[in-house]
Amino acid sequence: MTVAGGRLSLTAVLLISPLVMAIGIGLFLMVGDVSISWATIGSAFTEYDPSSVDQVIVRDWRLPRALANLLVGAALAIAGAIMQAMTRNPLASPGIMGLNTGASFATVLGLVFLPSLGRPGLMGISMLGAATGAALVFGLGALSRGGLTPVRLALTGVAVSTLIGAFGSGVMVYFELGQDLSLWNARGTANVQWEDVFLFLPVFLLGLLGAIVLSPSLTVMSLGESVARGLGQRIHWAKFAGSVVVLLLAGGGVAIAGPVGFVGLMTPHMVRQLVGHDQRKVLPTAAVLGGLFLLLSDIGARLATTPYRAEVPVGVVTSLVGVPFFLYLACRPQSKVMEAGQ
Amino acid sequence: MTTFGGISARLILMFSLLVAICLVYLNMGSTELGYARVFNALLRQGDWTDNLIVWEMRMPRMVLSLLLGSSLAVSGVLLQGLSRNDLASPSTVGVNAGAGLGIMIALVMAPVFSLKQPWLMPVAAVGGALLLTLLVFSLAYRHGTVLPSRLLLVGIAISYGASAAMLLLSLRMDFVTHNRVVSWMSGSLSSGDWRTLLWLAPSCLCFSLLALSFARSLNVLALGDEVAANLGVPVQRKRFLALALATVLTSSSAAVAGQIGFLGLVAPHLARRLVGQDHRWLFPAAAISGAALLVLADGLGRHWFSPNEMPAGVLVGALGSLYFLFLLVRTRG
Repeated sequence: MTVAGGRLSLTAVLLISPLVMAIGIGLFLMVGDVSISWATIGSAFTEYDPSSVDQVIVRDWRLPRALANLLVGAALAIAGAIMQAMTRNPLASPGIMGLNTGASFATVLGLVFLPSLGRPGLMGISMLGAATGAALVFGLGALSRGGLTPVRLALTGVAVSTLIGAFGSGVMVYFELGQDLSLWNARGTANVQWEDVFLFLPVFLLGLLGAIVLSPSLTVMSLGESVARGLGQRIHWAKFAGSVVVLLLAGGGVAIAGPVGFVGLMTPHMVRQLVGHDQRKVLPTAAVLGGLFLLLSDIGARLATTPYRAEVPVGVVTSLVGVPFFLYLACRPQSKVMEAGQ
Repeated sequence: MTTFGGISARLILMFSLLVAICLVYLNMGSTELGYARVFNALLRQGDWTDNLIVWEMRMPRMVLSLLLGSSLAVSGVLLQGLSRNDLASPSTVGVNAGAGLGIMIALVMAPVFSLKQPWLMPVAAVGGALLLTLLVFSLAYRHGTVLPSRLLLVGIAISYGASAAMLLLSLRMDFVTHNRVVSWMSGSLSSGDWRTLLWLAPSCLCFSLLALSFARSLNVLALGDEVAANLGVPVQRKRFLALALATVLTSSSAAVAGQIGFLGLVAPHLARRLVGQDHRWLFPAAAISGAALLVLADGLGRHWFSPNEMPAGVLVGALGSLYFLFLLVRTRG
């Protein structure tokens, strides 16, 4: 792995991305059960009329949902990029390292035992859950004789996810929560409201800032621990700070949208193809692409309908794209994943 | 590792332990009978209610646990042997996911039909599992051989895809069907009755005996593909047949009791510690330990949480993943 200059410069990314995101949001506002014209969307912002149903849909339902998609997708993608740089494992991502299951299990517990808990409380609990899942994975990885190797970390993640998942389904069966809860977990950004967006925004900005500050150390760490040590990096400190950023971003994101898979796994790979391995470029680009990926997936999810529910969970759409990508990662010749799996 | 006599002594010991666990199981439950009454009822000498509880309620469920536990364990031994990978198990190579998907499709396509036709669920499970396992293996197949580590990764990926597809299908179900599916998926043994056992028992026994005939090939395969080929074992053909056998064993149990993950991983490991690497001993030892583990898990799930019950799959999953973590932490490399 070399720190190669990619084909795209950071300025190009920063110039193009607002345009692309604006188009994405515009599309998101238009498309859905009710198609809404550009003119109505425009007037929803310039001359807002609360008695017009279409304008209310745009301002109070679709816009917060679109922004939540951008934020959550960006958060998961940055978290995945940081994890892949830190562990040098191409499969590292919030889903595989126990964060998603930890966060959603904690939210389930919160819903069952503290039903009066508000949104901020649930988000806090979700972050705690993500932290617990991640701490279990990291802790068990560190306990093991061979140390914190990438393979061990990934395998431990799978097992911890299974363990937490078993507890989760136990709670579900015991309290007879059946469909409510599994659908609630698969809810995606469907019921997001403005207060969710405003709740998550400061967390996201904090995480983003941390990621940008850390990006030079992450680039060095992605060259391998011995190189990083040789270059004078304080590995433990950087790893700790990186983990905190990952928890903020992934934990908050899962609290908003439930465990959405594959955004954190796929996006960093695509980004590295575009801009190379310099994390100062990777992280912002991952944020943009991750957000767009989730936004487009959610448009797809809203267009697909089923008899008992208005729309398909967004996680299904990201999985349909993500699974073939995962297969490609696992099957490509001379794959790094293969070395990691042996 | 040990002598013939030593190993058979261990097997006999394990078997006695299994019998003891079974007796405890028959005694446990919402009404505790006491061993004297259990023995009487076993001999059909007890009073009418005791006979009913033991023979019609607890016994079929226990026999079901025994059958499923042993066939999952045998299929785990087959999968670990054919892929030469200790982490392979029905849940990691996509067999469980395929069986689940097959059953979900059957339930969505013909919900009423599937309730009336007892054969439909197993057929759908076996069909789905065979298709998905075939897909996993053909994707992992490269340059004339199946790489063990790629097999695991592809299996994990395909399982993710299958669970997304299952979620999609579950949206097409009404509330009642969906709740049934959820409780089935979590691995509950409560569906055990003599009618199910009538077809399950012969097929499990047949396939398990068939698995035993692979013992010699698997022993040779453990030395590596090339050595095995030089010793005259048709490597790919044996591997394929063993895979098909493991798939059928797992998916017919999945049709009855849903996803009981990690049992197929843990039982072979336990057996290997007790009787060593020779597959001729490994198969019976794994079958006994798998059966014992599942009976134990089901019994505890009923006992601790009574009057509700915790599905055995949940308990086995929790214990199994703990063991897997222990395995990971202990080993080097």
